[in-house]
Amino acid sequence: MVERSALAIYIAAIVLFMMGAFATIILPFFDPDMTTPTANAEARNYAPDSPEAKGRLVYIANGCNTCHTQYVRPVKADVAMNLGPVTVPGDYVYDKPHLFGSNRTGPDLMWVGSRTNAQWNYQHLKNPQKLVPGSIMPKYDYLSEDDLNNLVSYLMSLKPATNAQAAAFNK
Amino acid sequence: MSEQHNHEDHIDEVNGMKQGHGKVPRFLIIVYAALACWAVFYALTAKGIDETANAGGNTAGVSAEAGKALMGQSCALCHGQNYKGGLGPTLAGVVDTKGEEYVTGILKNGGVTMTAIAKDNNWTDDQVKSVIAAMKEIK
Amino acid sequence: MLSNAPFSTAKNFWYSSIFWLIISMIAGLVVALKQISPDFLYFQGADGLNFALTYAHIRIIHTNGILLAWLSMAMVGAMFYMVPKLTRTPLWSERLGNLTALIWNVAIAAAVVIIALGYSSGVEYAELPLILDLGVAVLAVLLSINLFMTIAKRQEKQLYASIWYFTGSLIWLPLVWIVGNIPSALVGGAMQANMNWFYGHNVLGLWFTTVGIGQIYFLLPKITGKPLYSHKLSLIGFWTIATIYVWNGPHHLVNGPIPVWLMKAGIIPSLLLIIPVWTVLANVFGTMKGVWHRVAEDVNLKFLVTAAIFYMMACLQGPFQSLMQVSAVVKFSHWVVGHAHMAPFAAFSFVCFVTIYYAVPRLTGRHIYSKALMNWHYYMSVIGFLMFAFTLWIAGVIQGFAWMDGTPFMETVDTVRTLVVFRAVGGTLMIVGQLFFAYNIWKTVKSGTKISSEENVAA
Repeated sequence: MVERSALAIYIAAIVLFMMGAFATIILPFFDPDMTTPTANAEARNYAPDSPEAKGRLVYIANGCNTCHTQYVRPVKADVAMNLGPVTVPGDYVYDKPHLFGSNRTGPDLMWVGSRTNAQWNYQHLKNPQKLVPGSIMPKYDYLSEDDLNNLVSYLMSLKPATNAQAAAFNK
Repeated sequence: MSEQHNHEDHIDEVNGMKQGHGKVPRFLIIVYAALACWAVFYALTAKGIDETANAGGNTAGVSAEAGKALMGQSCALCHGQNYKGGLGPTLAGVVDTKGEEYVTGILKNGGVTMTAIAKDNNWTDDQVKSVIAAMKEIK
Repeated sequence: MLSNAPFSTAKNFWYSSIFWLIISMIAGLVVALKQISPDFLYFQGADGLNFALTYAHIRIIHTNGILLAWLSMAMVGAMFYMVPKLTRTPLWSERLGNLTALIWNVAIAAAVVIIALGYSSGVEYAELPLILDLGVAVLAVLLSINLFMTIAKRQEKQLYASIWYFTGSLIWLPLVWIVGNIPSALVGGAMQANMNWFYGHNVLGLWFTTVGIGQIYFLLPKITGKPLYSHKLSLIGFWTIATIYVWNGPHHLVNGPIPVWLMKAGIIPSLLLIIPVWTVLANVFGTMKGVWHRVAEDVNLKFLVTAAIFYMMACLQGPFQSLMQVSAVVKFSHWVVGHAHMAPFAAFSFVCFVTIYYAVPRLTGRHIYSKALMNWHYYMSVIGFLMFAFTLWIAGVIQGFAWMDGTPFMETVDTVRTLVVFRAVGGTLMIVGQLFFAYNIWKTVKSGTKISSEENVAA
């Protein structure tokens, strides 16, 4: 009788937990779709001390992913918003930590580098309302010049692998 | 389990808490069964959504409509709402004054500060032409 | 500080939890105001301060504060009260319990500072850096030891349903926490996102929900004086939630960069969750049969029944929005924010309010200071929440369909601007309600009228 033994509840609870954990956490490791890097993943596999890598840390420290997602789904909304290519698990293999985000208070940034330029991003970070009237994005003018430039480098690197990169990767 | 034998009104006490042995309502049993059937059906038949083919995804063929979809919200960031100029210049009439070839070059290779939007987004030649067609319609 | 008095641990956990409730909700309001005016709490030229107070930091403090400080501490307090009461065995060690409470408070205070300084791990709901992750794991172990030793020393063999739920939660919490926070950071990418949502969802389902239901099963028979409706329903409810809930994580990435089989492995259990939820509700409503009239006069019962109803609504909305077609519309919008507040606030915070209102008079020997304030607490919380949630749901649906039409992003921001203001108004009402709560408990402990020996309140 399970209601008489705390130990029995304990063990059964662990076993049931492990079943779900195995299916949803362990099994994906054996799916090559989840683990094989794509050309896009290589394009954002930054060297440790590069401006892009440093900019990514600025992105994290300021919590940009609180309001901006980095993934494009094959659904009508993302197609209509013209967010760029649909992303696959392999695009994120080198993302540590991942920056998926869960809320679009602001637009998706997965491929933001392919629709903006460095100058625009720099000015927009300093004073979003000046370039986008009515924007509810906070000002990031409190960042140091280095941090801002690194962040801009990171944002500008967020673009799909070029045809040349893809060809080199597929070789 | 021994509960089946207990009369429904039977009440016992565990840890000082009284508990009865009311039966499982019939509608709940129906809900359990319905959900179980649905689960099997869904597991076997559900497919992922793919709506990419419906809009903007056509890479062949030239039309101002497709061009507009490609321009989408990106160009407006720099060229202003309605493309009347912002950080970048106005796009109204730009194809007429600068010529189609020049604008195509900018789209493909970028300008002084402008990103090489066609290259970065892997646009086909047809898609570039569609964007030019859409730009001609900006008044 | 490290008192050995009976139930001092429970009280210390509750008093601290109420403090963190107020702090975390104010952080929530700041975030809501920053969405209306991005320059709120922005000080020209004060770079360090602007960094500390940036939108994302305050939001992280809000979510972690509510989940790890208010709700977890209130629930731990409830277990430190209910486990000894049910097993009729004194807590194994009040000193260890009070030490746990002390470390917990220090850890949360440290977390607030660390987050404001920007040292976040960058992953939603798992923002705390590794050192604090380990700290939380240690806390979970400390409180488990204390409670399991108490259960082991009991005289009566049989265990009541609440204890099953507490036992399960105590084993699940450390497992869920560790998977989501520690190895996932080494993995990265889509795999890490999957592991984080495993944690992000299961901490709700196998900790807040299960401890919350354990509390309901304790409180409902005590407050109504009626036996719990059905032992069999308790069994079905417990074992189905233990089987199904842990599978839910992947539904957070529906239509996203994970394989379709994994989405389905998350969506199917999301709908099957209706089984344990409705089973628990059948037990609640079965118990309420014949005593519904008392809801009108008893604020605790009012809170408890309202919590059950919001629990039901949250668990209808959740399965619904996990479906691919629905997710394609509402995901990433304000809708999700409204949904995410329903279970933690309107269901399980309400349950914790009842636990505290129920237990504090019995532990301090004083009547609740003001029944009117209790009523105000109830109405402000419910009306505030409804206003908060409905504006977000409406805003979310508007956003979702506007995005599908390819409406320029700024236009969609403009469309929901007014609704975002109403959200903040609803949120303010919610906070005002909690101020009544905090004041009422404070006054009760300090100067509530003594319960005379003839009144038998300590049922």
